[in-house]
Amino acid sequence: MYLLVNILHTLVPKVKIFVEDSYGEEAIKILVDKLKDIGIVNKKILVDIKPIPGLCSSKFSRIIRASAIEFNRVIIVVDGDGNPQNIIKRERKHIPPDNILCNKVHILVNKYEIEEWIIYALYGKISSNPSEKLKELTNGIYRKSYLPRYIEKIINNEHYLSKLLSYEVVEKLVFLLQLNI
Amino acid sequence: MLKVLPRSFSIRNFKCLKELDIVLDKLNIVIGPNGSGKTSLVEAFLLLKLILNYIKGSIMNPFLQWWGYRNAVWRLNEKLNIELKIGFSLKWEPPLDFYRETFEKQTGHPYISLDSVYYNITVSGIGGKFHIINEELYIKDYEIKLRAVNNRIRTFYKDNEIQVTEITPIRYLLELVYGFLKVHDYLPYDEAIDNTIIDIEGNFAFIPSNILKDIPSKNYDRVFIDFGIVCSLVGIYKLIDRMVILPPEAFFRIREPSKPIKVETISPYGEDLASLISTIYGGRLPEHIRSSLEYVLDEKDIDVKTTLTSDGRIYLELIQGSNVFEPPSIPSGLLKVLAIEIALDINSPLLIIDEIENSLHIRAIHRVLDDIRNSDVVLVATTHSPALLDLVKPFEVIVLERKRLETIASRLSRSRELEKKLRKLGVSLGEYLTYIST
Repeated sequence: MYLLVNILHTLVPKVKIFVEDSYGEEAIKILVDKLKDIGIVNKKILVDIKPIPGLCSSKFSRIIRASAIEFNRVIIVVDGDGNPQNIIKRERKHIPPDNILCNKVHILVNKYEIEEWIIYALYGKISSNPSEKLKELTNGIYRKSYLPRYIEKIINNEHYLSKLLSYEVVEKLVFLLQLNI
Repeated sequence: MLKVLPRSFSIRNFKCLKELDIVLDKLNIVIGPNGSGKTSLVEAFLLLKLILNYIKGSIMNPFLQWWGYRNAVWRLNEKLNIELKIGFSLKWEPPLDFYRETFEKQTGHPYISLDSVYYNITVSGIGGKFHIINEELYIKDYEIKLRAVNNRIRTFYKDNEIQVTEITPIRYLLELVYGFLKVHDYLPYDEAIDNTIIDIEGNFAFIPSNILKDIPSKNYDRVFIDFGIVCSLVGIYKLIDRMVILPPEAFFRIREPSKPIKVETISPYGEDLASLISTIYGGRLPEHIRSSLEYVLDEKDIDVKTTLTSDGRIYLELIQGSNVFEPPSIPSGLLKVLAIEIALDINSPLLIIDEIENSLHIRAIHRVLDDIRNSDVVLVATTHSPALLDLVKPFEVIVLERKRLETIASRLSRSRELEKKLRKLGVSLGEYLTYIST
């Protein structure tokens, strides 16, 4: 029985997502649960989301390598801080050189930071320093810890959700979660 | 609103710390082997807090914490004095709806910003009695020094004495703020128009105009200087009063029902946390604090509320959906995260945590560090955890070492060299500092 459970476990498609911080972890978990609920992402896929264990460290490289062995796909969602190309170059250093493992790892870079998802879905146009902009747009109410609540607000409104899903980084994320793995 | 940012801390002759100077960054993760002085550093901050409590009249001798002066002074040498010096910067903006325009018209500045203010206190407990030997506030930006000596406040400009103010019964600078400015009690009113008034967290402090007179007005605008001095005085008071210190044992006392009293900050042993939640939030936590508790427990519908016992004491209850958990059933890690989150929410300028990783799962550590990074607080935390070190930058780490009975502090370099080296070696910062660095 134990062996059977183990075999079945290895058959479940598994995706690991690494995000910048614990707020991002909560926010993406809420989004992924919604995508599973409405059938955009296969409910059978096990999606595990964790904050990055220290940017630019060799520990992260080792964890990515181990995740690429254990999971069918590894997605890293990071902030571009206005210079996404630089960040992609930096994050590529963490990808294992092994070809098979390398193909399992995907890097998604926000132009600035994850708050741009909210601004795009709720207000349309993004600008530099999205978290400050969001604070301004919400009369000073927004703070980083409200990120998951805002994503919740977006996914519970069809119009906002479709806007969010059309945002480039989110579109790529959904695509990576939809592919047969 | 007055914002105070601690910048440095110096200690002389306290426990194993003969001479320790630390420059404070946003995050200060203190590491070192057992006996290197990490807890002594935390306790030096606690001594500052206890001195303020002594001045407020709530304790008889700060050194009772260590069972007497002998145990608190370096090498048990009671002849030595203990000296603490904290440096800070501050910014004060007049409240929008108050007299912003008047302030700008009078001073030509929209706000007060001071880069280098130092508060220095020398104390002794020789003979079993607590003495404050010297107390100084130096505002480097104005080159003005206030010194409390023999029940007088002496004012110096460029080291020349310019004024002696006698305010009976004020003996200390901190007493001037606590006893005379009455930060917590006063609201602005008409009679205070001639006085200097400043806003601290929605409460107002005022200083009568006759206290700080004859300040040299050659180089600076007089009113502006008055405000700067008052801001510095209230700034150091706020820094010490609102500083939150959490030793590892704090989280045991949080569970005990206590007398309901008005509290505005977290006490070092956490016994007043239920009263604090009641005072500030009316017994129910705000959403952003609840969301962190939900994240840590990975559960929805988490809340903490205060309840009274039949004999009128107050305690905390954890609510999880329809289940109510009384203090013995509340996880220690949750209480720790709760105390930290409240410290951030009350805008504590300085948060000191001894053994930050105790009782916390790595998930909780992630959340706590994220919340600290997104706040205005300066964190000083000791740790033995390599996993925690992996979540911070090398320059955020302070290493304490014991050399010839003295503790020496060094901060890792801000340059990217160490990061490159770590990548080359294939180890994390935690692994490097624990197993490789000598």
